[in-house]
Amino acid sequence: MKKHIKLLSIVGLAATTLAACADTGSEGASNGSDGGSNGGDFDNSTNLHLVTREVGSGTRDAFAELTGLDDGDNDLIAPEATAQQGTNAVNSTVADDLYAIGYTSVGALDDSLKAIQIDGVDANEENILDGDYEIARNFNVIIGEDLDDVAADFWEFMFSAEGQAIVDEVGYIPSDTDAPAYEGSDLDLSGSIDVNGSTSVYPVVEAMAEAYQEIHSDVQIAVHSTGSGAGVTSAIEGTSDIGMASRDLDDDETSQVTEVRAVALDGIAVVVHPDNPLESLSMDQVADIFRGDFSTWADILD
Amino acid sequence: MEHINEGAAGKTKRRPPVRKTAKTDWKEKIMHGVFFMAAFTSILSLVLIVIFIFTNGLPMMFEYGLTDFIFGTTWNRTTFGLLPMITGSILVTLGAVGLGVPIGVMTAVFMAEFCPKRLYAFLKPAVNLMAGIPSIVYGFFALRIIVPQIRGIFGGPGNSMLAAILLLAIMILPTVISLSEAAIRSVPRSYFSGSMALGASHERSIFSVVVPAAKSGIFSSIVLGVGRAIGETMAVVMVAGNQPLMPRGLTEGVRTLTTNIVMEMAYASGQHRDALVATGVVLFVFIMIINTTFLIMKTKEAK
Repeated sequence: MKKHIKLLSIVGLAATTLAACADTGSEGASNGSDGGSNGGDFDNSTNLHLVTREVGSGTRDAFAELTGLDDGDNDLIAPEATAQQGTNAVNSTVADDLYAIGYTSVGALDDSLKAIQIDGVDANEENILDGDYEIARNFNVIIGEDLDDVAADFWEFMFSAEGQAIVDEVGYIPSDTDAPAYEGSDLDLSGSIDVNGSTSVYPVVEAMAEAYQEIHSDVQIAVHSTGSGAGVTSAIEGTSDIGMASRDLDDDETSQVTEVRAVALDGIAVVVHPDNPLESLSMDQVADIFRGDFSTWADILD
Repeated sequence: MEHINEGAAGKTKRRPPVRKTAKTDWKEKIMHGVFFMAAFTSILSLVLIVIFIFTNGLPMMFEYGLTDFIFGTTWNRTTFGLLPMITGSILVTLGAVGLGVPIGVMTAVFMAEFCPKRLYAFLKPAVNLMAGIPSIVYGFFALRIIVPQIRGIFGGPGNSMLAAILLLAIMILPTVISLSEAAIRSVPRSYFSGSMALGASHERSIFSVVVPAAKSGIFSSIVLGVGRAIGETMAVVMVAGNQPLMPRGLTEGVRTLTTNIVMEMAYASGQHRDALVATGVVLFVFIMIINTTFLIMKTKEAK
C-alpha cells in the first residue's frame, strides 16, 4: 500500500513537472506568434535596450568612428549598453528582444533582424557600393612609388575575380563586382612583397596573400597590421610596397601617392527586432541613441 | 648492500626473505619518485601560475595606484577602476550560493535518506551528468530560456545580474549535491539508529542528528560551490550584460571579474593588458581568501 502511494506521488510529481514545462513552452511559442502577427504590441514607453560590441572590437571602433562617437582612446558609446562578445551574440540578443537596438556587420544580416535605414537609405551592398549608405567605409590599398613586377602582379590579383571572391569569404563587400579573372597564374615570379597598415584591412589582405602564395610559391608576402596611419606613411615613404588604410586619404596624402584603390567595403547596419516599428534614423539620431541620450522608444518614435 | 649480496650468495635458509625485501625497496624507491614527480608537477604549475600573474599584475597595480585600481568605479581603455567588477562578482556569487545551496543540500538529504531506490538509480547519474555538461552549454541554455523569461516577467534587457545568478545557482548544484550527499552518507549509521531508538521520528533524526554531524562536509561543498560560481566565465559572459558599471539592480546588467578578463583580453595591449592580468590577481586573492576561510573553519571543527 505504502509503495503504491510512493509510486503515485512520483508519477504525480513527474506529471506536474512535465505540465509546467509544456506550459512555459506553449507560452513562449504564443509570445512569439503574437509578436509576429501583431506589431501593435510594441510599447513605446519601454526603455531602449542598447546592445554594443565589446571594447576593442574592430566593428565597435569603426561604428564609433563613422557615427562621430570616437573620442581619442575611448569612444562615447554609453557604458550602460549591454556588451556582447562577437557578431553572433549581438545578433541573437537583438533578434530575441523586441526593445533592443544594436549594430552589426552588413554581411551578417539575416531575416531575424531588421536593418534601419540611415537618412532614408537601406543598408545593403548596393547602396554601400554606390556610396549612399553612410555607415560604411572603404578598405583602401595604397601604392606609394611604382610597384616592381611581383608586387604589381599581386595588385592585379587583389582586384581580380579570385581576389574579390576572398573579400566575400572574409565577410566584407567586394569593391569590384565584375572584376576580370586573374591571368598571372602562369608567370614565373619570385621575390618578396611588404604590406603594411590598417588592422581592419589586415585580415582581407592576409587571406589574399595566402591564396596568392599558393599559386606563386616563390613569392613571400609579409602583411603587417600597424594601423591606417602607419600604412599611409609607409606607402608614401616607400618603406613598404603596399599600404593599407581603413579610411580615405586626405588631399595632401593623395597627392603624394601613385594610386589609392578600395579593395573591399565594410558596412555596419543598425539593427532592431523585426517587429519594431522603427524604419529610419538620421546619422545624428544614431549617434544620440548610442551615446545614451534617449531613454524610451517614445523619444525616437513620436 | 654488501651484506645482502653476501647473503644471496650464501644461500642460507634465512636469507631469501631479506633478498626479497631488498628488491621491494628498490621498486618502492622508483614508485616513490614517480609519485613525488606527480605531486611536484601540480605544485610546480601552481607556483608558475602564481609567479606569472603576480609579476605581470602587481607592477601595474602599484604603478596605477592600488586604491585607484581597487576602488575606482570607471573602467575603459585608459581608466582602470575595478570596483564595479569586484562588487559584481561578490553579488552574483552570493546570489547563486543563496539560491543554489539550500536546493542542493536539500536534494542531497533527499537522495541520501528519503529517496526510493528506483528513483535514486535515475537521480544519481542525472546529477553526475549535470556536472559533466560544458559551461558553454549552460550559457546557451540560459541565453535562450532564462534571459527571455526575465525580459518577459521583469522587463529590462534580460541580460542581467538575475540571469547570471539563476544560471550559476544551477551550475553549482552538482558540486553541492554530490559532496553533501557523500558527507551525509559518511555519518555513522549508529547516530541515526541511536536517535531512532531514543524515540525521535525519522525526519527529526535526520535533520537534528545526521545532517549536523555532516556539517563539515556540507560546508566544504558550499565552499567549492562558491569557488565554481566566482570562477565561471564563458556561461556568465553570455547572459550577464557585461556593462563595466556598478551593479544597478537585479534586472540590470553586471560584469564580473572573470568576464572582464575574457571580454577584453583579445584586443588589449600595454597597460590595458596588464590591468586585465591584475584583475586575475584580485580574483586569485579572492580564491585564496575563500580557501583560507575554509581551512580555518575545518581546523576549528577538528578541534
